Amino acid sequence: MSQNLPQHPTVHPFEFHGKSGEFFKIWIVNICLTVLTLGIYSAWAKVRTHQYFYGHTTLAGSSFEYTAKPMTILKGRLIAIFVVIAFTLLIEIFPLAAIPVAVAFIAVFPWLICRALKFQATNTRYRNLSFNFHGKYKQAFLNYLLLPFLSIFTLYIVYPLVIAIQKRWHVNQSSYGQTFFTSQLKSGSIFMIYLKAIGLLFLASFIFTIIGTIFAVMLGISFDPAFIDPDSNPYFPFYGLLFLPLYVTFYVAFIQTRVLNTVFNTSSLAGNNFESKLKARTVTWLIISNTLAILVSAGLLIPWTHIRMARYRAECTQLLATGDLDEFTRGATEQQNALGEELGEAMDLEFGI
Amino acid sequence: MQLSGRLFDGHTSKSHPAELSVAEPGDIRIDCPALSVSGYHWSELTISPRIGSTARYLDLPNGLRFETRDNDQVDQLIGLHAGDDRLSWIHRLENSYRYALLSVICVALFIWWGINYGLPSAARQVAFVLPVSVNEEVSKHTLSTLDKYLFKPSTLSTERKEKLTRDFETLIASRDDGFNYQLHFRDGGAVGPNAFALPDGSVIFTDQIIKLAGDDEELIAVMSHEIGHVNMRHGLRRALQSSALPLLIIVITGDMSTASSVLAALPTILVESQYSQAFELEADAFAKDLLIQHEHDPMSLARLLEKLSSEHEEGTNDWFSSHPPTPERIEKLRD
Repeated sequence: MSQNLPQHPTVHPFEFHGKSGEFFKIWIVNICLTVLTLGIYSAWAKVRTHQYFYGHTTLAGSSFEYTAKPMTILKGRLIAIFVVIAFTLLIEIFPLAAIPVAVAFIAVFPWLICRALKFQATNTRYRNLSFNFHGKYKQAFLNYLLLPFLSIFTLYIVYPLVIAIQKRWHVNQSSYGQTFFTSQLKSGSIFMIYLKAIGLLFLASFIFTIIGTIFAVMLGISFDPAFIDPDSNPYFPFYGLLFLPLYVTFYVAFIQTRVLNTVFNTSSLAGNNFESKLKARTVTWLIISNTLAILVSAGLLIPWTHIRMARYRAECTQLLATGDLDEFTRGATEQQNALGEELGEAMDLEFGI
Repeated sequence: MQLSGRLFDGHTSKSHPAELSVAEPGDIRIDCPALSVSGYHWSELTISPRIGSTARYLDLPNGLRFETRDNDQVDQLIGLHAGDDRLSWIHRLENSYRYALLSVICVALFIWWGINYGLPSAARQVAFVLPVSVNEEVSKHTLSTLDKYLFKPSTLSTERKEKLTRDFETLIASRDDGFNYQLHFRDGGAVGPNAFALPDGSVIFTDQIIKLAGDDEELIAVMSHEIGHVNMRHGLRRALQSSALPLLIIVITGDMSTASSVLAALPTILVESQYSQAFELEADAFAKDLLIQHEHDPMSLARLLEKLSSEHEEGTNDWFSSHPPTPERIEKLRD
């Protein structure tokens, strides 16, 4: 924690007020309209769904707002589809074009990342002030292409450090109005998360292999001794693998929640700090029970699972305010390159904050 | 009518409690002790669409914003003083359980139609439009992979192979559908008695199925069935269908989270066995025509199917099975 915290920061919890019943109606009507309009309505559906979740998330009595224009999103999606089809045809007709196309994509990729992050930030509004993202091409190229590429040569050992650099860049280049966020994220803490995750993965597979073996042995005793005989049942030692989806879910949830927590807990905005206390266990449970609920309900419980997840996320997040939340001011309005904005959305990169 | 809410000055994050009311010609009156705002007309406002019970934003031209939760009153004011309500019908749909139920039925019907007719017929159209070379691309390395992991070289005598290859050549002699049909013999090993068709036109017979067959008529019938799989582009169509389905689910539900990507795979597995059954019946029908054309008896396919099914002890659950029940197939061949 930051050392210049005064004695009593005011704690403002994030709250989520969405209701499953209300969202169900919005969700199903939007799917129906998307189907009836052959997908065109999906841009409106996206905006309405986002606004439902942003609008129901409140902090210190004010809600967030999603301000993207459906038309912008629709154009971005149409451009993206057109580009994909055009390149596929081009490569089909001139296979040699694959190389320049790949080079062009690599060259454009950092720009797309910047645009996507900017689109997301500028379309999020709180108390009538927009967020913004100021990251530039060069840094995006370095952080999202060059460094991940170089980390291959260290057998991905330094990959967590690359993640830390990316997150730090993302936070430090973000602003609320004209006030910049600052990140005190230490690369070491991200490294430790990955180290722990791998350790837990080994431990979990070890434990589950033992449990699996015990079950198998019990079955073997009661039903068929051949079951545990490696000669007649060569799959026997691998029964622990049946739990594989479980480990993977936990592993992914562990890394995601811990990284998110760490990024939040090391970010501050004009002396105000954030606190995120997501638990990997709870998130894993939510993912698994959500999956089961969706299966059992043939998809009808999908809205409920989204509401549940959003509520948990809000519950675990709070702002420790030392200053006055009324004193943020609007940054200079800049005209964003329209094409970039649209393509940025089409990339639909969902990043942290 | 009065709306109560908060006024933002357009420059800072500070908000002030305020009341907004509209006089008859549409002049707006904002009561706010901290900020004095006057001289605006209702028609100058940009009003955000109503979504669930989230707040409404009434934006004034100069960046000022009035935020309120009095959604019903805002809608009434829009009705009274005109304003952009082109999209207000969406909220009316979204706010009613009756329309929600209607939507459920509508979406369910669409999914049912898409799985049973839309997707198969679209895949069929695309597969027949694409050049034959695409089919070859799909199965470029399939045979070498199968040889590496599954098959062993055939132990049949050369005469036997040559006789069957002649039968095969006769069947394909008059075909000019662009496929390069070729008959291969392999020892099937664990696969047992079976025959395969690869999308590029390779037809593979295991030694075991050749031994199982009572006479060469039955084998000619199986060849026709496999040629049917190739000609009808079943390999490519399966690839198209199974890659389009999860994509479609994601597009419709607009959701790519971890949970749903696993979930998107499950219906695919269910539906795929249905598609595969449809392909078998299609290949049977193709074989029947081809056999009649070459003056063979289609029922020889039925005889071999019966032998195979008694070999396999097939289960009764035909929902998950990749092949339709044998009695049904035999019935269709007899008609």
